[in-house]
Amino acid sequence: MKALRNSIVVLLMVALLAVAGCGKPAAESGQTGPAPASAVVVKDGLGREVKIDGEVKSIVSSYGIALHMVVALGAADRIEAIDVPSMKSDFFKATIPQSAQGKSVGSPQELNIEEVAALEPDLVLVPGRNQEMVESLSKRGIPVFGVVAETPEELNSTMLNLGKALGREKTAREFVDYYDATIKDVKERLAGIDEAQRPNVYLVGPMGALSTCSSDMYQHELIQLCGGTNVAAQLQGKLDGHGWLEIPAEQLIAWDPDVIVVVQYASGVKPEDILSDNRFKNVKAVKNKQVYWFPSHLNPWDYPSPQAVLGVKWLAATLHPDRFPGVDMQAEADEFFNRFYGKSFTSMGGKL
Amino acid sequence: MKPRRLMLLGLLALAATALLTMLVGRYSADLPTVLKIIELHLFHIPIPDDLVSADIVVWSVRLPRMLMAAMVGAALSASGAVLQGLFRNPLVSPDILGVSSGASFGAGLAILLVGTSTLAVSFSAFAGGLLAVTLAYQIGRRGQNTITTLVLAGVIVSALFSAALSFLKYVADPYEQLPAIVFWTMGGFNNIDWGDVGRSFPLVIGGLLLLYLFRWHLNLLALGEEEAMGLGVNVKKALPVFVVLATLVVAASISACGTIGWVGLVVPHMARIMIGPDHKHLLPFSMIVGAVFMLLMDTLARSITGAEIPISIMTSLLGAPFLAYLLLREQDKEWSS
Repeated sequence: MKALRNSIVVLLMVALLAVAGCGKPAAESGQTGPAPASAVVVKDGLGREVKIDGEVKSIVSSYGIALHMVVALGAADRIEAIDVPSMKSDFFKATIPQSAQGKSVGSPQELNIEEVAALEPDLVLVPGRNQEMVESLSKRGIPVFGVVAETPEELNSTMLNLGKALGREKTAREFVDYYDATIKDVKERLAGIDEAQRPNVYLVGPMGALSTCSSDMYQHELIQLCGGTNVAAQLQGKLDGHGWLEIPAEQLIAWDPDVIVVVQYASGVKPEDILSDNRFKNVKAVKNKQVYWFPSHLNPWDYPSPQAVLGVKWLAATLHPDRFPGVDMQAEADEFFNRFYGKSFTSMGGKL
Repeated sequence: MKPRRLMLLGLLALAATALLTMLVGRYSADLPTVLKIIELHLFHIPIPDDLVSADIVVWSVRLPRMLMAAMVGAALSASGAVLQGLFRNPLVSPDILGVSSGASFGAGLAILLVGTSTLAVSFSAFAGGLLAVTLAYQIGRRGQNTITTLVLAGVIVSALFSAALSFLKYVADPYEQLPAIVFWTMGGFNNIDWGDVGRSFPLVIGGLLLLYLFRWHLNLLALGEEEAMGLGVNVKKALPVFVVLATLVVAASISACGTIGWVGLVVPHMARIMIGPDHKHLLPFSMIVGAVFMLLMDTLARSITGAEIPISIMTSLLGAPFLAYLLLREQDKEWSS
């Protein structure tokens, strides 16, 4: 028995070595191959130059925000595999091919490089903040695009570059125009408000009622853009790579915000919880019942992805209803979803 | 005489720190306001409108947080003192039998399966902590030298649960679950309310009281198994009682506030340097020093900036140099008799 077991172990080790040995040259060969005439070079979110040889027919993504972008660019049918967290999203269930929904390549933090190499995708999308993964993929000759979209400008430039890489420049341009037009409209409607008219806004982040966005985050820009003042504006810094910070309970009471918005991916806390929390009963937003979900439960509008444009309009209209008379966000969302995601928001089961 | 005076001094320091804790923070409330609020509550007088916010801060936020921090500080330190004596090893802390890694795994599992609701997370953390120690104990009690195998079993179980937690982090949703797990494992007192204090109080205070009452056994056990046996202590019975109690107070504590590093390891040493190795004094004094230390660190964590600084950063950043200072000053004293 023992001899048999030992020989199996040895066999396994030999097999492993053989696989590892074969894998390398195969992967490296992609790097040195001559570029066809149709090669395109685009800049990714990290400012790296990414060379695309010919048409991108298959995409692997390890990042939900990148997936949203691909869907908005009308290239959902080319997605081959996605990250584990994105598999749970109802939005992706409605938009991404069935075959890709069951195939995972890991998480935004950790990609299974072997799995990716086996799929031989034409393009891999990863979060730009994960520099290590970008490097280790490109070292192996796998074309990789680091997606960064922490500001409206970065969102637009990433959409344009990704559109170029996927041969969907027209759609990318259309999106950027739509985005810019919405921002312009919001800015015009909010023109002339002074500091006193800006409500103090507290945004509840994903770690519970006492987590909020520091001024290093997109959500902070969003509040300022929509005519509010982020009560946590003085906070800076990132913890473990994300800018969600925890504040002491008494700090929230001291800030006394006028409006509280709760992101829907904050699974532990709902607006009702904040309204009924004894600690916050004397906070203005709670007294005046100004505590809202940040839409939507289908996909978040508060983080930097194409549908964030809806979030801009929603927050501005919520903070300044007098300047947005008659705005119907459900209808606006339907229009946007029809145009960029191919199905209406309502038909996917979307609610604000 | 000297230990008794030190103990009295410690209690005075604890009272002063507790008062300071009530006065300091991001919301400014002065001494008369704090005293007034306490008076209103003691005599069941309705809170006037202009004091509502101050009342919430002082009575519903700071007071339960202060009680919990003091309780957890005392529990971690007492547990550390007991286990260091029991295992006759200065590097032992409550984590040695896997409580912390078991509790962290339990919390992570609840965050993934149930969501970030505090009740489910703390229950699961408590269960995970106890499960880890039970496993370690079952593995460790086999073999000749109980104490060495027990420590080894603790290391094994810790490694297992840490790996399992890493796996949970790997599959966790990076936007909602991962930050929640990371924040839980860092620990802190920010979300403590009267409910948490009420739930942890019986287990922690009950456990500490029993440890205090049995503390004279510890001096004998600290001599080693054979000597203790020779002096009439039933090691096979006494050892599990101490292990269970030391685990219980820690599991009940960290199920409410997450894992807080360094306190259980370092505070017993501080106490030992100040009062000596006799467990009769060392155990209660460790509790007092632990409570004061935790209160001070927590007050710093919530007041230095507008954001909460994870308390484990404070406990190691200030605890390590302080222990080094004590060591340098009292070089001639041994850590144990």
